[in-house]
Amino acid sequence: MKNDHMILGLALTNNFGAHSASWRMPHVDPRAYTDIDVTAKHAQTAERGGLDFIFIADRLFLTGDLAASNPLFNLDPIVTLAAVARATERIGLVATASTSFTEPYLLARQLKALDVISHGRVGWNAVPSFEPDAFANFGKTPPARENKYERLHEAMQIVQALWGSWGQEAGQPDQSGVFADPAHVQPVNLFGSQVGARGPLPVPPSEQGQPIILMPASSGLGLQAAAMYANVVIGMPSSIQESRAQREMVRQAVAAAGRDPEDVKFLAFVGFTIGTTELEALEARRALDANLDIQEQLHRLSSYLGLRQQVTEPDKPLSAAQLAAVRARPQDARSRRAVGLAQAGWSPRDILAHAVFDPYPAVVGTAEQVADHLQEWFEAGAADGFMLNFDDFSTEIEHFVDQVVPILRQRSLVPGAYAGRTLREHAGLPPQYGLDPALAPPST
Amino acid sequence: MTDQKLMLALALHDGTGSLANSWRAPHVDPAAYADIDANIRYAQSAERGIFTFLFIPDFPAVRADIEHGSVRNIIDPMISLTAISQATSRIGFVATGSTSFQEPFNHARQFKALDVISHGRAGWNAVTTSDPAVAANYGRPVAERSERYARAHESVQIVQALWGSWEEDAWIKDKATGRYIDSAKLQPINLQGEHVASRGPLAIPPSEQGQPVIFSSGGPSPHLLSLAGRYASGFVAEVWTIDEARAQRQLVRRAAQEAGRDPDDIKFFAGIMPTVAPSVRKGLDRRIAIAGDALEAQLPHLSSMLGVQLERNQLDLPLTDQQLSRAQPSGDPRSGIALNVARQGWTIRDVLAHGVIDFHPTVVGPAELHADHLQEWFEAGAADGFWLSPDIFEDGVDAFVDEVVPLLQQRGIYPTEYPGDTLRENLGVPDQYGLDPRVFGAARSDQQSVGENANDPRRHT
Repeated sequence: MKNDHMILGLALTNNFGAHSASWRMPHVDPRAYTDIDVTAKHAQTAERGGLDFIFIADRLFLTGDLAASNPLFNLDPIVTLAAVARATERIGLVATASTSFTEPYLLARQLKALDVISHGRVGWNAVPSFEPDAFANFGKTPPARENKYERLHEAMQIVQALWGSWGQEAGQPDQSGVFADPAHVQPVNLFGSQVGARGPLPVPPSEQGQPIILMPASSGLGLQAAAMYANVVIGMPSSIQESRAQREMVRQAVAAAGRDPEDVKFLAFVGFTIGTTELEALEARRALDANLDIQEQLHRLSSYLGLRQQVTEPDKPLSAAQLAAVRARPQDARSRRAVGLAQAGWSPRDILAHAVFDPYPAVVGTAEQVADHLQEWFEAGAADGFMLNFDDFSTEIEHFVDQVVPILRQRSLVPGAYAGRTLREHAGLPPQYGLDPALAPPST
Repeated sequence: MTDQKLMLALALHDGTGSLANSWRAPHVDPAAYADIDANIRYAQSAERGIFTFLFIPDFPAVRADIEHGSVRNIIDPMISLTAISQATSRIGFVATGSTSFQEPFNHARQFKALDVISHGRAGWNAVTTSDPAVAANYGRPVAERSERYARAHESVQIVQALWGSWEEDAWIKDKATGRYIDSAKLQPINLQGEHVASRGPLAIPPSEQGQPVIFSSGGPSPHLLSLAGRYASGFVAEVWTIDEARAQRQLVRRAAQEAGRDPDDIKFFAGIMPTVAPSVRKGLDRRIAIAGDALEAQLPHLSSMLGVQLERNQLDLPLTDQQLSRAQPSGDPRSGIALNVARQGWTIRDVLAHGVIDFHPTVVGPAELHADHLQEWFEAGAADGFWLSPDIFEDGVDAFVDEVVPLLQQRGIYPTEYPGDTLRENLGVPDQYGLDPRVFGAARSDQQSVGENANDPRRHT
């Protein structure tokens, strides 16, 4: 199905925001890391704006400097979303879970149970682990690079087969007849070299049948796996051109796997800080950046500007001599953007406040500018939708919902309200139950 | 803690009830299995009755009789309890999780996450799995018993060590200085067992009760007692008589003592399968109306329990004098109860409707009978509390809460409000964070081994 509207997901991984200093803002409770009511409130705000899903990323080991910043990841994505499911009604709930350490039967059971209790709103961001630190938490060592996806393939096939093992035809429990037709609740008997399961899984279909699958954009073996299983692929391209290329690559791989490219949606990461004026937005970002080490930031900026002599004055626009010396790194959209902002006369601190170093394209500006960015990418065929990131959840989700969504609705880029009830409907995905028949192995 | 009152727990499983065919009862939604709102209603009712916790047994496989028997298992323990936690505020949650097939890091993370978001109400019933149907769902063979228990010891130790790895005062969260955590107090555990291992740490701070409470369940084999004695704060039992329960409770308490703990630190829960009804007759009729054919199918079992041949055409007659005089209790612990009921002159159908072949003692009838049963067991030292498997959840939980609980309160053996906010407080068991130092000695350092013999105080005696 071709989407008339852009798909919008909200990256809501920790309860603070994408900026490492958001926990230090005066209006933020630093205990929010463990406060499920905060997560629920953010999800409710997103739901008020008709966003299609919230997304919880995951890491199975500590990462980042916890001495100076909140944990970057969630207590537990699946447990968190089971709680959020009770606080929301329409918004999709996407949990990241590694295929490397949990048995497929348990993954299948938890994700489908969550799908059933949320009435068809669950997505699974399926990823293989490869980091030695993650494996160490399970007393294991990572597989060789070429085997990174081996267990993922087995797990995906077993999980989806288990999902389909309570057939739609098993029927609803009939008090004068049978609870379930046992002919349609049958074992899957899939045993791979790493994991296996007999089944069946006693979880009936949800309103969307089974959870949808999301996977990160990748190349090589990762692209091949996404082409086989993913309903949604999420990339982090730095420009429209790169995004179009990634999307095209995914579509070709999907077609090569025997599936319809229209059935797989490509989402691009994007970040926003929104103000009623551009200066107000920059001010909000500067307040966050004030907690970072400015010398370190200037050092990095100097390098992006191609300056051998480090910029030392954060509040003075670059001198004519400095401007004459700047050199954008070719092929680096962030470097080009930093140079452009320097040439436009912004001070180093303001260049930084434009979020030039964020890992995804970022707009620090007005709701209009944010909407323009989304529209330009969407209409250029760069993406079917976006994974939204905000510096500070406590203010920015609301800004987006109250200021940007009305513009997007006015421009008919998003629907005026939820048209469907399930995540599959929100994302414009076709029905699927069990493994995609296009991939089904020949029966033996 | 001699002044501690009786505790109650509610078992949740298939959403309909413990009586055979409960899903077919006219006032039951047969699809309640997949309806979380049904379990939430039962949980809220139990909380109204000041129940200490919800207990989730688990059998992660499909039983053979799904056509007629429903699933008889909760859709998923962690998902269901997390959802229920958002609709309740005081009742605790004890979920079964098998150490045989799951990774300690995953268990540690999910249970502590539930503990934190429920504000200190989570417990883990740590079990081993010997059922081939379950093992097959995890693509593995069943390990032999000593290996299963060796892995269980390693798993619980690693899980508790991970729970303690974010130390209680690690969380600085000082906005002014920008110090979020004292990294020195969030350190790896580096535990290496023969079957499982983990480096850690686990980035989840303490809950209001520190960490989840460990439970054990099942028959008191030496293997299980060794596990329960060291780790468990609650023991969920299957016992039939006061004598059996007292003996088991003493075994469990002694196991805790031998592990270096206080015997009062482990609470013993006996099962009960109540049907609350205005009269015994009405209660039996309710059970016969729903479970009728399943009761008739138990006839051969009753014959063998009593050692006399009972015929189908006798179902609506009492046992004959000749049968009664020949009847002898068999080795089945339930047969003595069955014989007592039969001697009261009930018809064979009514004897079966008394639940004499159920999984736990069954009381059928008015609230007084239930209160008497609980009081007698409690005062005989047979149990610290009881876990209920009502005949039908839809009205059975309310009936117990509205009719039996007030009687227990009047008799002064049941609380009128929750003693505390956390599961640990409501169980009356002591604080614990990380491994129990009484069992495992002082803090660990560097790479440590785990297992049945790790830091076992008995090695030194």
